[in-house]
Amino acid sequence: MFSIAKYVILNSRNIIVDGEEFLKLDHSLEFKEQAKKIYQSLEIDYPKFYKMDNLSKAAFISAELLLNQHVFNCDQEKIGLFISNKASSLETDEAYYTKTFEQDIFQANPALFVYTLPNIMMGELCIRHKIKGEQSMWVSDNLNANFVSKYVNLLFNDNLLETAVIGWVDLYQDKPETMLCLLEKKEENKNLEFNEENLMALYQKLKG
Amino acid sequence: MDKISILADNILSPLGNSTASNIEAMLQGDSGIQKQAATDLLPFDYYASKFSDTQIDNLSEKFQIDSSYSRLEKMCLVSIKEAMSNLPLDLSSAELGFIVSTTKGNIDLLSVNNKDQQGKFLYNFANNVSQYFNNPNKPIVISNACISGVLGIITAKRLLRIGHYKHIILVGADLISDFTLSGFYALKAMSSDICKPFDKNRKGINLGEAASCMILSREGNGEMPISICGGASSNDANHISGPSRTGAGMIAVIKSSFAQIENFQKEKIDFISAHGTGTLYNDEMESKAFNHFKLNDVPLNSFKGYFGHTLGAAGILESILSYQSLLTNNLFASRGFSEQGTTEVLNVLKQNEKKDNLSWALKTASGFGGCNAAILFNKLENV
Repeated sequence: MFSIAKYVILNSRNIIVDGEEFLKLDHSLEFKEQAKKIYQSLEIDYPKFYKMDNLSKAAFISAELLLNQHVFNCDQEKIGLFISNKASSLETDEAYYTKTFEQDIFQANPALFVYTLPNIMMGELCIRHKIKGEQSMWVSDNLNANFVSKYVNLLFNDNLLETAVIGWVDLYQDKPETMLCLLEKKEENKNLEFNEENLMALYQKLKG
Repeated sequence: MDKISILADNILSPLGNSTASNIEAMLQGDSGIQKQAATDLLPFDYYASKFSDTQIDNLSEKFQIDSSYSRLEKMCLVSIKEAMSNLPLDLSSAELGFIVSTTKGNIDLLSVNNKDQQGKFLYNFANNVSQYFNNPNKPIVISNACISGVLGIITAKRLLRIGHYKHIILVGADLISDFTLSGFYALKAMSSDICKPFDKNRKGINLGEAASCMILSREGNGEMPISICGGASSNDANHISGPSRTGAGMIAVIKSSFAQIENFQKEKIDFISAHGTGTLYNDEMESKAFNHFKLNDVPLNSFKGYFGHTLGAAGILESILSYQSLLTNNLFASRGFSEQGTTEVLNVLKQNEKKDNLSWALKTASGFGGCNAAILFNKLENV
């Protein structure tokens, strides 16, 4: 059996780590500013953060809080990453479209274009945390907890994975919504079992 | 039982409306890639494989698809309907699921300055396709850059195996849009000519539009004697817009795929359908990965010279062609290749070749975000 060893929830109101409020967020701030403040409070040195789009920043912050004191005890190829969201990369798509086609002169920015795929944020997390195993980016209007839990459990059962980071990372119209879980083999029964119900409960907590 | 069958398939591209017509065009050496003129929005000429203005509309009329569907939705619906012809399968069944592989969905809806469109959300695009057939399940949308198609096949196989569905309609599609053209142009990734995968003079990619469809089932009846074997995805955790120089992520998925097949020996592989985009870095990276397994002498091709890079459709389209190669014992030339152009020497096919008995094909894919995927196809002998 696998369990949800740790989880992080981030929305416009606050950040929750394992059920405890970690930080209240000032929702009058634009997310870009908010993200910068949170990044600075994390006291890490990762200048690439400033180049990321807002979706990747939301993913990055959540993953930092999820994995800051964590050491993976397995091959990097056995760590999976599975993220779903609603708006794909539309926030950056629209910004890119406006900057490229709605100015007087045609000028396309390659550094911005790269972020017009939803799995780029997964790439950012993989680089930061050396996650190299099975991965998938899914897009649905709400988290499909039934499918996600079945799919990831199948990979555990096949021994293709030993651990995984899974969840929901969405950002549209400047509204971040992330929920990331660290999944591990069950050791203590105090942990949340990784199943459809518990995954859905965390998602509902995020939407709350 | 793990037996998953392919009941039917379709390739809808500028070269043809069916898998057979696409293969016919390829055997004649045709390519869908043509020079396209600059427009007001895009101030540069480029090469791409694009549908004619009428091809999709005419096919939609043939299948009586309402004009309210978007261009991409029409492509998907036509591809599914072409694949479905004569197949007694109830697409409205709850035991049947839809998987949709796409990178950008209805991205053309952004370009009409109509930013409230619901269709720009990928899940709405996919819903429009599945609900056309009154299917009650929410489609699974895979948007994982250029591995979306191969990952779609892997996902379908896994879900069928655990009985999540009895049948799956897998469709992959992407448009050529001002959006994607401008971006690849800005990245200096577009070839100024028809692409030349693995060639010394390769200069980049051509984009292509296509839809491709596979109908998969737990309850096959020998429709196609092909087994889908192995299948893995990975991330090389190296760079968001370039592959690892060592091919480590690609090596990992090939290794995982081999390990999933009982008693598999790499010597069994008869040919490789590479990702082969025609960029310096991708093709070089793949050559290193194949060299790692000493697959240098195995005949290899890229289909990008016929179709361009069809993004979300590519992995499905190229997988169909791979197992059709097995079924017909035909190897397709890697169009555009003439001179070795990678550090590790590969056996890139210069001509179409007829073989005695092809049995195993390896298909690879790689994409932005550091993702890689591989899968194998095996022709079943005693069916």
